[in-house]
Amino acid sequence: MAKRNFLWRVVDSILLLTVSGMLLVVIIQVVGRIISKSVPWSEELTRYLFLWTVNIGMAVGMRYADHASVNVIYLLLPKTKIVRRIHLSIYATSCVVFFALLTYWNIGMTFRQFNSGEMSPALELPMFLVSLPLFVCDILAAVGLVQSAFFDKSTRERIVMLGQNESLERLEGGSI
Amino acid sequence: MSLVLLGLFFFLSFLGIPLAVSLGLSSIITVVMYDLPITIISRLMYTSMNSFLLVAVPLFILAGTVMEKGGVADRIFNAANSFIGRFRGGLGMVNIIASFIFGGISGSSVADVGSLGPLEIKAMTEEGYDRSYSAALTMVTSTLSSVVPPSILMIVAAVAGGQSVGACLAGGFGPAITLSGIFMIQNYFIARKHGYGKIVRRSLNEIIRIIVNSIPALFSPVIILVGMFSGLVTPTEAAALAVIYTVSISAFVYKKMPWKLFPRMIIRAGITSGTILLVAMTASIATYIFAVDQLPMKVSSFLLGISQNPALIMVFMGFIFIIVGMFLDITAAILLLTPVLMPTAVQVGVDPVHFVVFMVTALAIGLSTPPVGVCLFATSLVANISIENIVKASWRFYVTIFIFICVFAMTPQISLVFVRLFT
Repeated sequence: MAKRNFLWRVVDSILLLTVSGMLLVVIIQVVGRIISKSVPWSEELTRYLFLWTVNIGMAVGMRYADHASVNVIYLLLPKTKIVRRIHLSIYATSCVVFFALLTYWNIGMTFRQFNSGEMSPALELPMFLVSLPLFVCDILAAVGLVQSAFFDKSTRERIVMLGQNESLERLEGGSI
Repeated sequence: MSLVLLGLFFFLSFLGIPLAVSLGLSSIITVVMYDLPITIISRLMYTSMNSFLLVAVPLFILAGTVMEKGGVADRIFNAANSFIGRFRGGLGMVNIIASFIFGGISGSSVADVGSLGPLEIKAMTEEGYDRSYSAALTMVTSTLSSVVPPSILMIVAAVAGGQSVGACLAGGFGPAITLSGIFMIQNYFIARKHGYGKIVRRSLNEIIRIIVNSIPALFSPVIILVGMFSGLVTPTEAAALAVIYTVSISAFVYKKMPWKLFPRMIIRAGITSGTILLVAMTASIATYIFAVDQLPMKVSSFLLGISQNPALIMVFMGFIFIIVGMFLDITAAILLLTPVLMPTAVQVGVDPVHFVVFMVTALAIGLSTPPVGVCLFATSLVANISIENIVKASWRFYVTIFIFICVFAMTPQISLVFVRLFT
């Protein structure tokens, strides 16, 4: 497991809350139906918690370099320092560009929802809270990516040397 | 437009860029290049995850981890072993059945290798099975978890194809049962030829004790599946119940629940779903581009030009699935291939549920093949054998699976029987 600084401890705790929250709300929904006291907001709240979960999980996955990638070409190339450096720069640049673009567009979406003052049907929550995780987590993912690629030796090795430092935890991390 | 997108995607992913990011970047570039509305990107990524059905994904992942760490997997293995472990090639059969039952709760193939793998390989080598054969069988059977309901991949595929999640999950029983049966027969002949496995006699008392001990563990797939297919609970709710049930039996019956690790396991389930579903988010943009480009229609007119026979079309698609599954992450493959190929299959009269089940089964093989099979890597780690040796020991199973896929393509009854039975 990679080192976690304060930021990622907080993020992990939020993720813990959203996943447990989903579990709890779905259970409430089932129990509510069994005792015929249906809970009108459960489905909506579960979906919103799920949106947060997926986006935070994606960002944390970036921090731990858990995302699946095809590294066949680097297994065939000689394992020299230059090759590793090129691999790392391609990985980092592309991800940063991707998340920067998404942040920009997703901020736009959240702002539009904020300005429209739209509310969710059952819970009457402002809708911008629901699209908020998209851009917040895009920024988080970019931060996590920079940390994993340049400031943490263990994740950097994961990124560039697949097959050598492969652990079961990593395999279980990014795949089902 | 679609070709530009696909070309860019393959180019970027071969550079070692994470698949989700490669797919996202190539989609974004295509959107910009062809002047499609940019605001659609945010909206698609948002709506693709605003789904109650997909909530089942993190919950089933969590249930699988709890089983793995909470002693449920051991009980399943022991129960299967006490029943059939004493026949010739029995432990091989135990391996197959245990994977099947494990898949009936967790739906994750890598979790199967991680939790059952060490037990199975140790027990098999102790009884004289060749180590690489034990590893090969463990690896091949672990792909069953991706087909036996509740399979996480099947849920993703059903959502992508707009089919009933329950029906697709039920359909998974067909190929899972047939494949297990074929593996058992094959294992029997291999074991007989090489003299694998001692004949161990157990006293009736011992067998009864082990079975009683494992009843709560064996009961969990029953609860999940009955709940889901009787219509009492939705697949998402069944996933939540699976978590509660596995936690309860680990904590109160087996007293092996690692409470200290539990928060970490919950966080892990969130991370795993996030990494898997980021692919789904970016794939939603690609799917939109395919639709604008009318790729499904182009593909269908091409395929229908070759043949109009549903069986032939499905066999052909089976080849595509196997090849794509070998090189691409399964989730990404499902999300890219479903919108493109499903319309053609439906047009020639293939049942959409059969298509989904068939696609997941054929793609799941890629989990156990080089060069990118995660189950292959996981088995190599667990068994401490080189990837080459496992592949060499697995060739017979690869052939079997290949033949099965061809037969399954032409016989929709294999999956549809169970769909009708359960829904």
